[in-house]
Amino acid sequence: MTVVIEAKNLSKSYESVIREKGLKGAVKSLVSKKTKTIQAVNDISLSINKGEIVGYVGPNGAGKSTTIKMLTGILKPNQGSVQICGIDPFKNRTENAMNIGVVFGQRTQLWWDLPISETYELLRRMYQINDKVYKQNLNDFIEILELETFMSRSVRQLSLGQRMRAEFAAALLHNPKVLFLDEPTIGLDIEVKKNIRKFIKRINDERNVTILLTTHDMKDIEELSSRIVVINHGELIFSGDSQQMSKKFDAKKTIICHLSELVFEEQINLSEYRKQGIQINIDKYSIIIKIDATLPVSGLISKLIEQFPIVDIDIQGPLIEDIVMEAYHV
Amino acid sequence: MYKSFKATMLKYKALTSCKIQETMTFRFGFFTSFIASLVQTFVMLYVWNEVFSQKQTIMGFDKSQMLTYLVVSQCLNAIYGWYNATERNISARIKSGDIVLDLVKPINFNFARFYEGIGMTIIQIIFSGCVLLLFIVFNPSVATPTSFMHFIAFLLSAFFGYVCMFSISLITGLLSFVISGYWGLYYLKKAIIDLLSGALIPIGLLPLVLQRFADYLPFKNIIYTPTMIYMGRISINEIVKQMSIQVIWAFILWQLCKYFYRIMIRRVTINGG
Amino acid sequence: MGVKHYFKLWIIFLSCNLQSKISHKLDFILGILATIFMQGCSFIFLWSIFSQIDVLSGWSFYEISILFGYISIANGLEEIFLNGTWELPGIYIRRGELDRLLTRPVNPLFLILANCMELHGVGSFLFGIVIMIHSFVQLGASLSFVNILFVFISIISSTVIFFSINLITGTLSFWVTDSMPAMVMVQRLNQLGQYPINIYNKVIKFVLTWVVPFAFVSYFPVDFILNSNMLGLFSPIFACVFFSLAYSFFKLSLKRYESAGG
Repeated sequence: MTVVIEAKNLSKSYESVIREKGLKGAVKSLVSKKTKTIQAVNDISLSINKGEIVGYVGPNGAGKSTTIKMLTGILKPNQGSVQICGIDPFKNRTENAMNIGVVFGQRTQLWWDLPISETYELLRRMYQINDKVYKQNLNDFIEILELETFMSRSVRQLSLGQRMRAEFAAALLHNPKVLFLDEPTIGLDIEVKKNIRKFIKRINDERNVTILLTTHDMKDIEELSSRIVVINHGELIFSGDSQQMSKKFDAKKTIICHLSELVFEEQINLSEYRKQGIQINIDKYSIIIKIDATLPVSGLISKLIEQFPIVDIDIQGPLIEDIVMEAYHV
Repeated sequence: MYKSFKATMLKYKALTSCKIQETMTFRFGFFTSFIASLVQTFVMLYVWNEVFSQKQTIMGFDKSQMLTYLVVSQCLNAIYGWYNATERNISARIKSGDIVLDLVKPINFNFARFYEGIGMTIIQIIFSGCVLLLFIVFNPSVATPTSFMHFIAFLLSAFFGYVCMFSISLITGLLSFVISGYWGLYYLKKAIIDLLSGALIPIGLLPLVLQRFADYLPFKNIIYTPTMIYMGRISINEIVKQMSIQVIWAFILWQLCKYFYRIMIRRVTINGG
Repeated sequence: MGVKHYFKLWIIFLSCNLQSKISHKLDFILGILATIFMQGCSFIFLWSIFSQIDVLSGWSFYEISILFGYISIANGLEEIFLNGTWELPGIYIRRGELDRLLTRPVNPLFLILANCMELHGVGSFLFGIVIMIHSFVQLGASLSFVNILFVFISIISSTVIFFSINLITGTLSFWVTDSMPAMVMVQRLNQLGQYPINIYNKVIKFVLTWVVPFAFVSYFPVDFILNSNMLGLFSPIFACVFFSLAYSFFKLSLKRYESAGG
């Protein structure tokens, strides 16, 4: 297992300007400047292996973009070290640039007034991509991402979904070993999101590209990541796969039993169940059970079926959303 | 009636106050933006200094009169905002589509921009006024207004000049739905107006051909007329006549604003912003 | 990443820029008109003054026109090829597009310049050339081959100095929120270079020569051609030194940007 991204004890702090409210404050700020030190990232270590897709989540302001900037060589950490494919992104910027590709969900690298082919030509020259490799990649991406339909139109005329697809192709033309995705599915409609996810999975499978993905869309995490890293207040809260995450954050399954008759609280020994860690709520014609996601439910359900006239059962697995929200509140 | 007027005034006052705050946010930019307009003044000061070391009078202006003209006209020019944010804002908002936010607000678009503009202008006025005072105090060549009446007339005239200038800026801002970048149109307009408004040089000194142009265009009103009133170089009759012309032009230009505004709305609502 | 590679890359950028500008014809034409009028109106001011006098500080109308020409040409060339510095405060630093540049295997300053070519600089350039040639002809100056060679070289060095000044003021936005007004203000000082510097007082002369060296953009080179002022001969060397100063400042600021964060 080769380690592709190795970050050790990364720390970063900012100076932020404080300003008072109103007109008076504005005038004051003209003459004096007060600053406050903010610790954006505090002692974060990450180790990502080749071919992994790692989902990087955290609430806004948690330090996600700061970490990403440090990993891509844009920002120098106050403390700690970074190695991408064994290269320090600061000392060897050019070498590192050849190995990485970046997609910013909110920004574009495509020339606005020109068709995407012009940007691709530019990138070909910039990354000195071998002719054969370039043609092969271009044809592959045109086919997989269905770029043919809008290749001749200028970027300003494209929809967000089309632009995103072109954006991905642009980032991968030079066969980077590592791909950084910063909110790649933001603002896209459901179908385009699905296709983008399919594409990401595919290039990960076929080309073994290591991917670090930051997102607020939990479905991205669910469908793509082999591992999840949660960060909050600049600190690493959790790193592991979804199973481990369920365990650690006390993820709960929800079972809703629909009854044909009214049920009352006195009919169930709620305290007995509570001792086992099972939470039960009664709501007229339904019994709502919250139980630890890792525990089996068949025994409990058969008991309830004996006792009550149950006509339907809904079982809802732990939502990544809920787990992550739990993690945010740690 | 009074209540609704008061409410309107408060609305606009809020806009003005916000604009003042916004302007002061970027402190470094604020100071240099003002100082920049001093550069042109200085260049011309030195050039005229050199010129008058050779000749006593030029076209009826002696050295101190030319200096007075220079300082007053440049102060007015600075107030009208060479770095005119009105156009930039409108143009940027049309481009980004944010303009629709302004269109749904319960304020008259043109007036709203006008009051925003005043917000920025007030600061300019304070600074320019200080500069003028400094010149008057420290440089005996620069004269005070010929009389109090002249000063009042000057203020009135400057106000109408301001309305003209503002309307022109508003129109060029609205025209940016036709062109992609506002840069070309703005600097083209600025160059022509600088020349024909008297900001660069008293109209009387321009080549005759251009003087004819200047007479038929509204630009002369903006700087040349108020400055000449300040210096008392125009007789009372002429003052009344020139100011009437100013008022007429101000009115025409404001109507043009309304016209272009309607066109812009049509364009925006048809094309979806 | 050799020179050849950079040159080929630059050609593609040029092609993209051209295509981009041509797609906005009206803008392009307005831009060229704007630059022509801007220079033209300044020139009319000069003309108006000379309709009243014959000589300004010992310089005739056509001699000063050559100064005008030099500034226009340097301005125009800078706008066409080296205009990227103007996008530094707003687009690259404030909006954060600089980050993307830092992930590329190419020198960031090169990318900043190559990305932005304002072809309307052609207006200033042509205006300056026309004025300059016309003035030389009117002066009846017989230019030796060496002098003509010097004209070419000094035009390039003037452009480099012009650009370096903007590079320094643009780089200030790494240290201060928005240095755009400072950029414009300093840029405006080039108007001072349209006249022989002897009309200014000692302080301004000093500033124009050694701090914001617009005097080396127009006055000294022209003074060398017309009056054999030896300082003008050194303007190309001055340009090299000044540029390396500016570039070092840029590199230093970039390092600080990476340390302190956007």
